[in-house]
Amino acid sequence: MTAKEKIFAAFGDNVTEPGNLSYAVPLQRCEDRTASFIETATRAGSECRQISSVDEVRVWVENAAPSGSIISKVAPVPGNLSHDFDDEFDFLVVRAATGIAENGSVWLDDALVPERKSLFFCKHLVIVLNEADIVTDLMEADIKSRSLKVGYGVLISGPSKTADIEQSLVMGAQGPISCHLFILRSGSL
Amino acid sequence: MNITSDHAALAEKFNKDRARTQWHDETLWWVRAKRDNATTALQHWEEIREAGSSIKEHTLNHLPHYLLRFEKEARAKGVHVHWAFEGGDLNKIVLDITRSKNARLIVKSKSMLTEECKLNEHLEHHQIEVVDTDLGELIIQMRKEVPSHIVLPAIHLKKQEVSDLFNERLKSEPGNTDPQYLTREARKFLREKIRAADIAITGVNFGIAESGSIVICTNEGNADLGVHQTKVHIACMGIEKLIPSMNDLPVFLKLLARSATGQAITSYTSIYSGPAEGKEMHIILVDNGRSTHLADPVFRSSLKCIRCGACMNTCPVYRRSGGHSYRYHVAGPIGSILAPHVDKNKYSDLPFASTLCGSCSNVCPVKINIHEQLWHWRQRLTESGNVSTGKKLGIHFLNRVLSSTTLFRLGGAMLRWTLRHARFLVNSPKLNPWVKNREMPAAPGESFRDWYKKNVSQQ
Repeated sequence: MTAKEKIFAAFGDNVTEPGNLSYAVPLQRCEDRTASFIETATRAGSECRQISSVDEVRVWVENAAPSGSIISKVAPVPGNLSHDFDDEFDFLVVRAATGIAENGSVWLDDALVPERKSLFFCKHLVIVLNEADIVTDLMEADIKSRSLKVGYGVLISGPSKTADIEQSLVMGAQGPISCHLFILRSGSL
Repeated sequence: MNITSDHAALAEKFNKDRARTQWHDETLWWVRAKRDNATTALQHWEEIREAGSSIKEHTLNHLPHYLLRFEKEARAKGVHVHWAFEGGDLNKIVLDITRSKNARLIVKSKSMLTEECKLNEHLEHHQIEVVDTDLGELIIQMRKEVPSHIVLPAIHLKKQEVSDLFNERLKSEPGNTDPQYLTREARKFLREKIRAADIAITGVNFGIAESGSIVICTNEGNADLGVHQTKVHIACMGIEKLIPSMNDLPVFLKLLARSATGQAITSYTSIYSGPAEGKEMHIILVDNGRSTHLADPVFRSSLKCIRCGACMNTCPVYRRSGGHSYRYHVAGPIGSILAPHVDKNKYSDLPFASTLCGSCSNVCPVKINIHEQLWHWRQRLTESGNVSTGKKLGIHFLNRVLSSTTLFRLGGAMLRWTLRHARFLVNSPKLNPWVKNREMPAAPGESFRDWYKKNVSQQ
């Protein structure tokens, strides 16, 4: 018998079609989605800024590290590093599809990121998010349709972190040391 | 069972270092408090728990169906799906893949399943280097220990010990105990290993039957780093990790991190659907006793467990005895239910390592009746003769006394007399282990029954 046959024999070969699974989880509600998102994202270690133009991101990156290595998927921010990098680099600038107020995370996937490992090899992750794309509840973030379109999708909240040594929180355990969220105000360009 | 190494004996040893025991107790209670804050900050927590429980129960009831669906969908996406009936099967499959790739170095993110199957030992025995990339796991791997907690594997250690270890193994500065410095040293070491690795092994938090996807939750990003950097990804997954649909995932993401560490969500929640272009992905579905466990109606619901560790953080016995006292890679209340399924003899003491206070059941995000299952195990183990003779005789004796009014009243009178006139009999820890850290109370002047007769029944 193969391992699979042994397992199914232990089940009693009882492969029944499941009936309906039903459960009801009421959605989270909050008064101010943006404020609530900023609060939870900040708690997760992200640095949040509200901006009126994506150009503010370009200025910020330039000021933060004038000679830094940059990979960018956001138009006005110029990149200076080819995508086949092999080591740590300074900034990855990407757009997130949606932000979730309930937990402060944003959705990124293959369609939004140059190469998967860039998310983890950058020292500073810079994310641009349209304020209009913030939802309150994780169940409103459409994870199913988003994830089924791509091979890899990820919810990210803050930088890589650990508290494995005496429960002391350390940012930058293995991936990015910092995570910067730029929230583009509704109605701006 | 060797009485010098049962839970009580090991817990007594752990408690010799009073300062450390207190630190352990308070630190885990602090994690429990963070969990409380996170769960009360969210609306509808009880409805979410109920939903999580229903989804898991439904999936377990139809597990064969969902497993076949998962296998079919994952294969359609180009994943190699393997089945392992026992832990040894998992180890063999991993070794075969490793050999077929001529791989020498494997990086592995946290996976309690590979601890369960002792995969590291197997690979190392065949001269394959395995590096655990989760910081806590790396620390205990270097110390040749097992995790003392499923979420916080090195919670039993102090930073001084980590500093000494890293000084010896990573040549970090002697005496530098700054957690940030030590984490950076580990980061450098791990980055080199990950860049040189041939294969990445990960665990799986959730498998999605409808799409054949797997979901991995980490705070460090070490699982993703390994998978994205190497050509071959091997995901090891217990068959109970399935959920039917991606639409069910948010329910568990709401529950998991809040219950585990008090975070609203882990830093990374990664969804893998098939291998990346030009790469290879394997998923190994492991039974290792789960199908027989599932067939047991009393204990089957413990397979709903999503490994958050909340029952450990809240458990007064776990907090004061440390994870290693349980001698199983899943410690605490849930481990005490799971371990006897693996070896009834070796772990027969664990269901007794509980006050049955029920706090574990109250915090469990998928509503497993943990303390009731521990109580069921006690009965089953006593019936099957897996407990010590002393315990067995004691239980029979108490059973006789408590089921007879005459014996109970006589016993009460004798105990009150002993407490007054022959206290030494009950005050010796040898004769009465209950007094090891406690004092016997003063004898009451009369029994409750007599007091009641005098004061209440006449009114």
